[in-house]
Amino acid sequence: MRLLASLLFAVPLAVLAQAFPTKPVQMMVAYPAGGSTDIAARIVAAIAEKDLRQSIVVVNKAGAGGQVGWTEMSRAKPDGYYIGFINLPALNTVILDPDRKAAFKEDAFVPVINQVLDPGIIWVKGDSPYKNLKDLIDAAKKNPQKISAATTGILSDDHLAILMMEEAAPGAMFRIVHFDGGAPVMTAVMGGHIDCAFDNVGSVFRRIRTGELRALAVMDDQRSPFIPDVPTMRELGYPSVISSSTRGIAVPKGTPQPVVNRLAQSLKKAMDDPEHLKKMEEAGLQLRIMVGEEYAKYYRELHAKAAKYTEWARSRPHK
Amino acid sequence: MEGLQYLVSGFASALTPANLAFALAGCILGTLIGVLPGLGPSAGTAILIPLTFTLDATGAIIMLAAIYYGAMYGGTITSVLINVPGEAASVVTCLDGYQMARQGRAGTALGIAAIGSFIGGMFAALALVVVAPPLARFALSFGPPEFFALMFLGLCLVTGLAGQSLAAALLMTVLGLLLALIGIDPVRGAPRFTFGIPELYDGLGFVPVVMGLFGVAEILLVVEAPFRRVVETKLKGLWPSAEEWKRSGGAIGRGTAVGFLLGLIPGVGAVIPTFMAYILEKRLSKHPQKFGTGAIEGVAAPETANNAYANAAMVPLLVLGVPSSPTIAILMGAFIINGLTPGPFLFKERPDLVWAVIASFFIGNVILLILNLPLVGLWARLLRLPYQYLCAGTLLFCIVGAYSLKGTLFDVGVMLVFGIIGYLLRKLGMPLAPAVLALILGPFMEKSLRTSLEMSAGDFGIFVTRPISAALLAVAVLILAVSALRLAALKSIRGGSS
Amino acid sequence: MKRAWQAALAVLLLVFAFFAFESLRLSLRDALGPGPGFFPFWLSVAGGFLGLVLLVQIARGTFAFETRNLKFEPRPVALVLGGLIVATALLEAVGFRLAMLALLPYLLLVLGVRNWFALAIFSVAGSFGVYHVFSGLLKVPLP
Repeated sequence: MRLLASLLFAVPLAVLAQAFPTKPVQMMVAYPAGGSTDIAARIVAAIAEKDLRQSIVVVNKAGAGGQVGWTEMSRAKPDGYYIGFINLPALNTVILDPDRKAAFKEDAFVPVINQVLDPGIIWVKGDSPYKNLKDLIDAAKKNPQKISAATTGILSDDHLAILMMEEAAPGAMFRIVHFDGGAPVMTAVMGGHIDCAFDNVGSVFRRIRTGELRALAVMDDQRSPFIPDVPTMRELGYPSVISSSTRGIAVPKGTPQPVVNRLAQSLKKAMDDPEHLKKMEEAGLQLRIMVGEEYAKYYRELHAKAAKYTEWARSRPHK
Repeated sequence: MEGLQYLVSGFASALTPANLAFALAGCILGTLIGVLPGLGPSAGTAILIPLTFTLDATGAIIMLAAIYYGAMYGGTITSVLINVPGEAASVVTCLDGYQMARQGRAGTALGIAAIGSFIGGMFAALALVVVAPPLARFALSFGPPEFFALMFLGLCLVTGLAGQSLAAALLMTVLGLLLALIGIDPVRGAPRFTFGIPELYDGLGFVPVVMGLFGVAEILLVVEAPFRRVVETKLKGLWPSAEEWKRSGGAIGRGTAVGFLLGLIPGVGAVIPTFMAYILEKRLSKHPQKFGTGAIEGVAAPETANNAYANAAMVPLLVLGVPSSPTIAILMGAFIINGLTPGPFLFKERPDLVWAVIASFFIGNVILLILNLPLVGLWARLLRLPYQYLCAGTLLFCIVGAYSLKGTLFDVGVMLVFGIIGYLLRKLGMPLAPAVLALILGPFMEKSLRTSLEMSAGDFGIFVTRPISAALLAVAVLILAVSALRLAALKSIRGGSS
Repeated sequence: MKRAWQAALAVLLLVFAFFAFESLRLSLRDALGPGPGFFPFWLSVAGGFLGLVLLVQIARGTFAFETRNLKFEPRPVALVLGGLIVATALLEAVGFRLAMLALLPYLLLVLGVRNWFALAIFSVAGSFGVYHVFSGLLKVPLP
């Protein structure tokens, strides 16, 4: 009897999934147009449209470090026609920081598939006196809170990375200065106003190649294919300092599983497409595709990690 | 200089039919985007990014750049015709441009705007070629304290727009700054003054507020006291008089300088140059009280400044690889999608592309002029419609504009609320311009202030120990002092007590 | 005019007081330097101060009232405003086209247009026409 009932339910759901999508799908990017999340989104949307047989319209809902867009997504109808990019750990910190009064919790979203993993990186001006990571850490230990370090936003992955660095190199303390995105960080460090920047590979690797900027370390398990000469934290003796910004697609909680599967299928196919690979490489964005449960697990683990550092960030002494 | 030889070959490539077509398309689209409500250059350029996938890099970038400075002019059209600024940089043009339109001189206003824009743009493009790299390096010395000082200076200059009461103008400035702070605190992430409404997390939104304060409020005033609009349709009347030409000449020259210099500094934004150019003109003028009633310099100066700015803002992008504003960030995105990194090494790696783009700036300016001048008469003719249609039309325009920004009804509501506020303030005679500038600058000012303090670990002295910011602040304080003294002197001359 | 200014300033002072109050709740200073309430608080104080200065000036008669729009005719303004508010409230409920189709003729009638033909054309163009251009051609969603 139960078998029959579940079959009866499965059939309409399957039919629903078959029918899905019957109209264009909206893909929300919680950051301004032209940024790296946006670029990656547009690249994958253009290709996934073909398999989905409906157009995917990329919509930017920037603001408050992503909070505006994610708030909207948490309220959207979970019918599969509204999907959006979630950026980790940015999303984590939005949820975890009590001051932000986020209207949603981490279970408001169902992660579908991850696209990009942009490892963290520490860089300085090309002619900076700090030739390698050791120089920087020594300076930070010798003059605690005098060496300035730029981040692209408060409680961003960059910010948390600085804390991880300080944890792994006791005695080293930076003067953390927050900016609003990558461009101001670039101007500030290139202009000599700030000593170093904690950032992501995707934004700076081209300039590292040309020598305009110098990379001190990459915060990942492996060297970046874009700048293979830069050592990783693990090699330099700080294996715990692993930080990156990941961008993937999620849907609001409650979206039917068959619909989610259908989306995942099209998106994965698009991400494996050689044109996608080519364009992403040109844009300097490293792929780390995680689908379904693998991504969900990553999401939960990262959330726990972020909780620890968010708490520390809020209570960190400043002079 | 080998740059010159590259420039020549750049022209050759920019003048190919394909690239010319792109530049033309960009100018037309840009003007349309500037005119259409809500679709600021950011949104418009964003919509067109998908196109860049299919076009080749040079063509795509030429077109996007043309859209950007085309939109600068498009915004002017609505400012003059219906007192609704198409985007932030056009706010100042409303002050005198709309008044000129009321006097039947819309055509003249638009005409001088087109000409000023052309001259400003051409000079900026020229200067870009000649002095860009060294100046760009200098511009990097503007850090957060210098930005704060610059904006503070801008706000102090606004007391020049004060009219008769310094206190009232300052009050409006403070109000504008406070309103600008509504939203999520940019530094700590705490929502401020938002009453728990998520739509407010990003602040009130400049466009709905200004559309309300300027556009809707104006309609309400017009509805109360409809006026017979005299429209000059003879072409001769569209041309500025000889005396006006003379006055505009200086304005255009100074506007170009202001726009260009400020455009070189990454992160300044288009609004500051227009305000500064306007106030500079007002202060230098022999008849400052004419400003705000339809003085042609009041249109020439900001319009020239904003196109000079738009062209000059390409410098930080091309030379340093740093975008000055969200719209230029989109342009940069277009570069990146095509696998190019703007920056000094792009000059070395792909000089053909870079110089073709630079050459297209010149061409684009010419196209804009050719495109817009003849249309000026057409636009002016629109104003011949009976006022009822214009009012209804403007309101429709504003509603569409406010809604299409983010697709929320909330913005339309904000616009209406500020329409009422604007109406009341105008009735009382309170100056709006200081509030508007403060509203725009507020968030940046606070961010700069707090970033500066993070840099100095809480020490306020950072503003005076750094030479550039100290200099800017000193000038600002001086200007405030001079204004106060001057108004006090005027009062005592008139015989009032202190 | 004097009364109007005084009323307006009273309202503004209340607004500043509100901001000041909220700012205090947000913490002026914390471990990381000036807090979220720092800037707004001092601004509110400055605003309050300026408001008081103006009230004093008005009371003393040293304030120069600068007004050009003294004629006060509430009826057309109220009608237009009322129409706008209703239309906005209904905008998402009935959709852009219908809301504008109602609003535009209303506005034109209120303002005295009696040419039915032109009114009709304008209204249809303004509602359906605009909708088509924006939603269809430009892909800018309208309700």
